[in-house]
Amino acid sequence: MRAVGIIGTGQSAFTKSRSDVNYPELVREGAELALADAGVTMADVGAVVFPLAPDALIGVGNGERWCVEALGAQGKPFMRVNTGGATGLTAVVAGYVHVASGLFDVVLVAGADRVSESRSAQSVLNKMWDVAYERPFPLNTITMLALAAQRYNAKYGADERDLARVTVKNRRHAALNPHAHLRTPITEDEVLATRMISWPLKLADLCPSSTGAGAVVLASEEFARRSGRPVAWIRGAGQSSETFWMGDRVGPAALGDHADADALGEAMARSYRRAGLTKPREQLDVAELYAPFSSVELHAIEAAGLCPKGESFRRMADGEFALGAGGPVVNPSGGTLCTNPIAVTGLVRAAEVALQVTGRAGARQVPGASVGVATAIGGDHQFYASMVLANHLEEIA
Amino acid sequence: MTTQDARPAVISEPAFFEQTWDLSYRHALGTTVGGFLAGLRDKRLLGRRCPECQRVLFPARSFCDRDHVETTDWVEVGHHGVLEMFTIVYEPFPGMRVPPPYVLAYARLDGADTAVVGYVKGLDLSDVSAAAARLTTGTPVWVRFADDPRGEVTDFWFEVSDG
Amino acid sequence: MSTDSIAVIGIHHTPYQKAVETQSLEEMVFAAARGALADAGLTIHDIDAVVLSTTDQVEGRVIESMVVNGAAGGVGRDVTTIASSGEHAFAYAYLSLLAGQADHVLVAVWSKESEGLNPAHADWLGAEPFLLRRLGLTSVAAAGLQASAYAARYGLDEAAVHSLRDVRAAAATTAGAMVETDATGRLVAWPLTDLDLPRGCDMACAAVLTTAGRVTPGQNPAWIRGIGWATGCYDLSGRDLTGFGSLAAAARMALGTEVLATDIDVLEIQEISTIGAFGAAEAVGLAPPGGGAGAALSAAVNPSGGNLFADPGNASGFLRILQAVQQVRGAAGPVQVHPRPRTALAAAVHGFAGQGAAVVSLTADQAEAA
Repeated sequence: MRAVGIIGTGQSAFTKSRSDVNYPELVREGAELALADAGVTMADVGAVVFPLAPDALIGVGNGERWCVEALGAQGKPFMRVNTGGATGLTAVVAGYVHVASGLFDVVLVAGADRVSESRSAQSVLNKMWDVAYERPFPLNTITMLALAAQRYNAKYGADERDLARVTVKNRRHAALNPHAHLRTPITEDEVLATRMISWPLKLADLCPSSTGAGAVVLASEEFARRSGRPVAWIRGAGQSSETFWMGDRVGPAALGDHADADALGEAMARSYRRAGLTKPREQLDVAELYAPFSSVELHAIEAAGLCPKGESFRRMADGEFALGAGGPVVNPSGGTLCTNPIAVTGLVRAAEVALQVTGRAGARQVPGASVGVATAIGGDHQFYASMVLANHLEEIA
Repeated sequence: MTTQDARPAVISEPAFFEQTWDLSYRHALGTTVGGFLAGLRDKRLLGRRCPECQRVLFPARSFCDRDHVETTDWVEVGHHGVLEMFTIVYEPFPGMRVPPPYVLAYARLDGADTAVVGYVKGLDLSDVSAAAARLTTGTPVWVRFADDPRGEVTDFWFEVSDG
Repeated sequence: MSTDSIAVIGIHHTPYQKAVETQSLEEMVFAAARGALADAGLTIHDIDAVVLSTTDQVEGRVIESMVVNGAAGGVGRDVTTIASSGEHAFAYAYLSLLAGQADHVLVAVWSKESEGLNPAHADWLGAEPFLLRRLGLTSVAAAGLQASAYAARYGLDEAAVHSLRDVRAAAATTAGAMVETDATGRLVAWPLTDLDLPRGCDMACAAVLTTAGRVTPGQNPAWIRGIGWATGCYDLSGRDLTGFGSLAAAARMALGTEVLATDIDVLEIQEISTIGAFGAAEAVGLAPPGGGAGAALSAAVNPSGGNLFADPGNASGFLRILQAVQQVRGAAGPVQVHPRPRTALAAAVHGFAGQGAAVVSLTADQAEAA
């Protein structure tokens, strides 16, 4: 099997909105940063993979087609991925598959989002649901995750303060990350005082609507070694999917509980197996776990195998998973909770782990990080992607 | 004409384009969903059983996504069940029909292996902690029907059992 | 990466029908997936990865893969959705197998245009909002621009256009692939009338692919010799509309330097219009620029009748691949070419005036496979 590595990354300084550039120009911004970081030009790029989640959020059907010239990709193999919130990481997995296939030596994965430009994002997202059985109800991404949060708290004895602690940790991390959107530190009491959106989730438990671009350059082992750039090797990628029906994730006949993230665990296990990673808690230095809401990070940590089910919030209360504590650091970037440009959020997870394991994560660096994992979730907790990265190709000890 | 003349006038404000997507749809439901909705008009709650895993899928679906086979028998489920998860919505989302606050929940009814979404009505929501305490996972619920059901999923809702 | 060749071992599509009203979208996709699995002699439990292709605005579902995933058998499996075109989903399945990321891949692609009350409006939303949308650029307008550019350079051969319509209609009738229309010959986008443009229909399609080491006796594989794909400029003025540059690039990538399109026994080529058929035949390498009419009318091209009389939107290109697969498998029924073709080529295009394209080169002979 041909080894593949990330040899360059690029991210905007994510923010609420950008009125200085249109969508293709924004995409170009991320691509230019990644190409420069990789020390390559479009002439070196064999194929492009484009992450773009719902077209309705950027207002152009098949908006990827509009971005070809901005990327300088005309004439090249080009395809677009859409797996909802997981899109950005599924696109990086797809880029990995392009190179691992042997057909391409260098692949660019580049995209952007401008979520706040859609002034009716939750109304758009209401159209994700089943036409007869669910659309008549005000289901959207917030209510669907509030249901999971309520169930998790009831199952394991967590409360709103345990959720607030996740926001506090991530904001502290985001303050060290120049690309993050929400960078202001916050206290537990301040989180608890924000307005209730959908019980038990309050405003500060939720991600912002972010605008910005992200890109990575992937290369074959031969090209990567010749390039002389620091390489974050992709040691294993895994994906899985859960049933669409949330009602099937409860009760004795359920395979996985909606309180938990078992299908995420399955995707992660697949990536771990391929990477030869057997003890995540000992072997992982950093985990960029997609979690748009505070509650999601709790069961994502457990799905990653970093602690048993129902334990994550107790350990977080003890200070674990934060920069400066021992053990794997979760979301040193501030995570999706502080920055959520939907189409590329999953890509940013991979880019952040790549920066971490190559020692280029600046003030948010996990000291000595060598092995990390990036994850993303799409749909109603339905599509899962996971990718293990390391700064070496040796067996993961 | 010099290059100077070709520049646009200085723009002080960013430029925008506004548009609303105006798309309408008529979604075919198929005979299984159609049959379920017809059952609602008779105040009947109908599920379908998967011949492999034996789950009664409620509301009725024409195939089981776990085994990838067609469901077979129609099974009527009870008007009583248990609350599996809920949320109390306070935020007014643009385009949503019901003004907040309201309770959205999934309840698993007697005889069904899967839970169904619906509103929980009849609760005082002014004290969020008290309301949340009434609604915890495992709370028994009753199904109530509108007097004149129209064959839509909003024909029925849940109410918390007394005591 | 796998040094194994890759084969298509099962396919299925739902019947040609203008508007499917008795089945939901999910039920159609379920039928396509079950049919492809049955054709391969497999069940969903043999599948470890699923690739979908979605078009939210056509069927009116946001993140369409959510509601369709279960129907395609994706639950518990590695699922990737390639939303740029159905043919890209096929290419991605091929890459996944080469990369060793999957063993048996099911690809599902569909179009249920009848669910949209204003599908032309949905199509129009593919135009960027600042200039092209205000000018009303749609797929039909773009096809008209392409046809008029071709006619301006090479002349408008009315006889060839009428012959093409007749030849395709005859084949489509034999195939049962002719959906009803209210077209009357009315000019729609000069020089194209409503009889020169594809007729939309609803359809769900699926295919199962695997590696040579996993093909079992009785599966009747169609081997992939090569796949190519390319996307050109979005801006129509950045392309030469007299031809299909992306299609030519895709064909070169799929065929390599040693295989000529003129040596291939059967070709299923997606046609954006009657006149577009001429340029498409040229682009894959059947004729020099301007000479495509004769090639497009040859018996080797579109024995299925092509997509002019039944065009399932995002699945139209994917359906070309399935038609070509069936030819080399000897399973094309009433439109089977005799003697059975040893090689076949499928050509698909997407975007305004074929901005992007994909080509799949197939063979019945494993020794010739990639």
